[in-house]
Amino acid sequence: MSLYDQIMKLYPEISPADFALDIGTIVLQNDSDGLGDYIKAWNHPTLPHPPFGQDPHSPPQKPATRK
Amino acid sequence: MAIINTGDFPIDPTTTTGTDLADRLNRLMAALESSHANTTRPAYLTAGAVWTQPQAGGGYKLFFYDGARDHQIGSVDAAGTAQFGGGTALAPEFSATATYATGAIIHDKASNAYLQAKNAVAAGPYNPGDWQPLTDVLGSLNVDLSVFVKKAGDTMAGALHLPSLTVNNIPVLAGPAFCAYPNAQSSGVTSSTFTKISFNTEEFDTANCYDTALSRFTPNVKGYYQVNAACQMAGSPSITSAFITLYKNGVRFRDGALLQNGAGVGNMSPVFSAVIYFNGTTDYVEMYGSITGTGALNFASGPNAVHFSASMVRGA
Repeated sequence: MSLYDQIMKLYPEISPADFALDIGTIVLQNDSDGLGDYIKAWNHPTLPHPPFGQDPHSPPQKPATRK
Repeated sequence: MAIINTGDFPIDPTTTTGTDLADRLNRLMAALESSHANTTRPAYLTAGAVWTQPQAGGGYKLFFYDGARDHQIGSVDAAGTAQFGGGTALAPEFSATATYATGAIIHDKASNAYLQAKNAVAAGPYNPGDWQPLTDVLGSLNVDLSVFVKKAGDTMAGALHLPSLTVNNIPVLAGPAFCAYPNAQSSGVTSSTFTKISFNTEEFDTANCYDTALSRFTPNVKGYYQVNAACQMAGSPSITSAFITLYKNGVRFRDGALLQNGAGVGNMSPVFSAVIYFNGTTDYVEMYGSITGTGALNFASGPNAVHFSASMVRGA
């Protein structure tokens, strides 16, 4: 299942318009480097970034530490 | 002003007194010492004369009189700033009494052509074997280009050809150029996802600046480049939009065409064209495409339907 389909399945309220060029709130990208699709930008006003689709080129985020 | 008077010459020895003669000679000496300095060309000058014109604010202009017109040779202003040789510079005509160093450029009146000495040429009659057409010289030139202005009516021996001309070690007439295309279809493209288009086969790459593995162009000469691309995008059963855009240094930089069809079609072919500046070291570009559609989406293959090319159009 593609990243696009995974997002649509996770959030049924999202429509293709949310991915529309320049006016959409979600940008997906694939650099054809074998690392697959990822979420380049997530600017949806109400829904949070999914737990998947992180940019594989960005350094992994450190797990939150409990104080 | 320092010019001679009308009637000073010729001198009639039967009527000229010693005092009068001295006055005339003194005026002549003053005129010679100042190159006939006057606000206008002295009327007694004939073709071939050179004269000076003092300027109101100080300084001088130097003129050559050809019998009809005065041609400015140069000038010196009140501050002493000189400007000479700014006019027409012509290659000299061949002279049998002159000697020429290797590489000297002359104009041969007989053939009406510009020639360059193959080796040092001693004084003597014109020998065609001593000279080569200027076009042959320029064909292998990469430094120290001699520039001159040809006279009206002169003809050059063939068109100038400068395949390796460089300025500050930058090849201004032979900048990088490439063209590449994919030899296989890129299937499995996800809808509404900016996907880098693979162009893994080179048609040409003059300066080895294109990376087929990364589908990336990184020119090694600073300047402005015409960049072009086209990509046939298809879907089964259909696509409703196709978009192509250029990424510079990993960031979306210039958009190409956005094609849309609400009813859906089998394929669309957006194109891209723009002039892009490159720093000649780290700047690179890649092409990305985005398809909106359902079912199996792909970028086509082959140099006709999908291509990426660029060529330097001027240095910077």
